[in-house]
Amino acid sequence: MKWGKYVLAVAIVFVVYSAVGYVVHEQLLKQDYQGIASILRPVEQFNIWLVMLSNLLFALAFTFIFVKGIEQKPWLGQGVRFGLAVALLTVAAENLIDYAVHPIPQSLMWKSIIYESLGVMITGVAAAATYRA
Amino acid sequence: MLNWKKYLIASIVVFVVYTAAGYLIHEVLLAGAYRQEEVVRLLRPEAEIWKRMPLGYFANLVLALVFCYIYTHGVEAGKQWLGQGVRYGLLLATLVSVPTALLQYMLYPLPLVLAFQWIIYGYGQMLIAGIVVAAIYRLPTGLPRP
Repeated sequence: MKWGKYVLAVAIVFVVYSAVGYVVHEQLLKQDYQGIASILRPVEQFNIWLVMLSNLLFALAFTFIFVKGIEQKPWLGQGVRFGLAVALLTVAAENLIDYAVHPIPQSLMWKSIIYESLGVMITGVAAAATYRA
Repeated sequence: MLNWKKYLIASIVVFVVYTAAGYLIHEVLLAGAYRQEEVVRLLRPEAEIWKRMPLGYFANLVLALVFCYIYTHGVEAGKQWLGQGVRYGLLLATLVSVPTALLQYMLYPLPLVLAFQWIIYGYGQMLIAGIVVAAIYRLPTGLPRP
């Protein structure tokens, strides 16, 4: 493990994952969230540091697993495949259970799965691009 | 090259163990926490949740298949399987269980103690799943990684 490169990749993954998370949750799904506002935490209680902590832990683990499984194959394909695998592991499972347990509309579940999965795949490409050199 | 037979057996066993651990966590250990008024109002009625439970099983099946697939790509020959399983379980809990618990707490007005319980139990659940996949998908010592 080249630690310098790992730290750089973690930083990039963290930034990209946070940015796509912002686009997905604050832009694309904002209107859908207004429809279930009665069961959501009020905006004034929103804790950005908790999101940052969550995204940092995700970036540390995401990058570490990616590095452990790198193969002598084209970097773009590896990034997309790894992003898709992690999306199935995290996004799909989390949103299916979220829909089963919380009174949220099915359309929100599907949108969340599609948008968040694309976000994780973009994150995978970012990790792969950092490690291609 | 992937050993498909071992992979499929590992996926099925991880699915069963992970689902059983999930039942223990959510239906036994946290049953009281889910009956609190502040939590109940955020959930579907119990009958509706059970009606949608096949989605939960499907989610666990997808998780088990991917969990084991990623392990097979990173498992190293010549290292102890138990250590690899423990490390993998802890890593996957950091990737899956911790962010999920933190984001659920941030999104819904749930008690903080419940989020911490999800994190602790999530580590336990992933640790067991990691040990299971490592015990089944062992590589012969001294051979190169597939």
